[in-house]
Amino acid sequence: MKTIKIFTLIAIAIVGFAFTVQQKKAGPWEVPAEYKSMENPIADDQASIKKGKMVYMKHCRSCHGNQGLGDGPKAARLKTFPGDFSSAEFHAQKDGEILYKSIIGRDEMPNYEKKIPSKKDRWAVVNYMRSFKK
Amino acid sequence: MNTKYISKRDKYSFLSIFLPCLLILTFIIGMSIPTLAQEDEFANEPVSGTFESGLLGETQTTETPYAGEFGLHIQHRFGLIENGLEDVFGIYSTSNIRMGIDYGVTEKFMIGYGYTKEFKLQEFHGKYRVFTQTESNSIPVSVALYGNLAINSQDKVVFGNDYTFSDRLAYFSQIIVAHKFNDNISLQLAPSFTHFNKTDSLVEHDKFAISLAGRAKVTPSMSVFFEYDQPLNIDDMREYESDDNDPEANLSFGIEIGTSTHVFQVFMSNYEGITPQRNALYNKNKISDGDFLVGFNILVRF
Repeated sequence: MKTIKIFTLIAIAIVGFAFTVQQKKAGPWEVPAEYKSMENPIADDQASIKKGKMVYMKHCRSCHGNQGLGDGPKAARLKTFPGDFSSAEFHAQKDGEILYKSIIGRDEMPNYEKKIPSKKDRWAVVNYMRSFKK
Repeated sequence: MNTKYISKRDKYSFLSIFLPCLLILTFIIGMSIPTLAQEDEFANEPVSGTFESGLLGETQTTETPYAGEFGLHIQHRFGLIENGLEDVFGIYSTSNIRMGIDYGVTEKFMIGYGYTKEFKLQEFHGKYRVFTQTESNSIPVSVALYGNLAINSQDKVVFGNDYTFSDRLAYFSQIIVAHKFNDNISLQLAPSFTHFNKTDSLVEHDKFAISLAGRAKVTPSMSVFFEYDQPLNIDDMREYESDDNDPEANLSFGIEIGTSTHVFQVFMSNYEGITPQRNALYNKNKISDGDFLVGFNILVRF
């Protein structure tokens, strides 16, 4: 009787773990043409990178992590992997595309139009994220 | 024989605060004229992030919640630190608390409701951002108007004889002028007017005050801030000859941590009233006597 109880418990544990939700990779994200063709008006100088870092640390770090590897403290609770910002795939995008995804967002990625209202700040974050390139 | 009681001390304290404030204001405007090298595209964009939120220590700032955004405030003031470890520097002593909620009706206009524990004050307040400083300093300062109505909701026996409802009301109005020097440093000046319909015996009904506050960022998410509030005990406005019940000035200083969804402020202060009109008229804690207390403010944005 005791062995059956232990066996049942182990079986439940194995089945339980099999149903653990794995974080899935983000699907394709179509960016509107107007953002693809947008030029970054802010030079990626020290000042804008410093500013971008300030904004990133405040709003983005908690999910995307300090190095943009998608390993921030809140990342584990997300259903979709937040992305690896050091990858070649990420940096192949134009500045306008990164801006759109960062500010407009979708699904679990919030919209930051209100929280980062300044256009200067938005482009500064894009400049800062370029520094994550491996 | 009626001798007019003239207080030289008060005359000097008024001037000694007013003149430096005027000097600082002129300095700010003068500094803004040689503009920094800004991209022309952003020259007329309003600056953002002058302050982390609409509340800094004891004073309101020129910021409001975004349109459609709520802010939940929890403000807590512990007891005075005077008893040392006996009550853990006032932390285990009596306290005052306010819980409030603010709502950004539009980008420029905010309304809010709060409830302060001491004197059971039901507060209704609003703030209007008249204009915001621009990146190129073509508008050198941000200006906001703030108004607060507090209704003392204690039992009517507290108000003595001849009670009427209007005895419960107290008003506070303020003009807030702020300047963002750069991403790290901001300063603001805010004169105010307080009026209580009914006050304690020998306490004035009206009080002008002026507040100076500033913050300096030390890391991307943390800043240090200070605030100095000076009630202006103007002789020509005196109802009573004695200055025994004149309110005392306040000095607050502490740290602030801002994240995307929260703002935390922990500081030392002389003010225990939380509600601004209470502080402006009734503060008895003296800076020179070391009558400080620990306080914290938590803001949750949603």
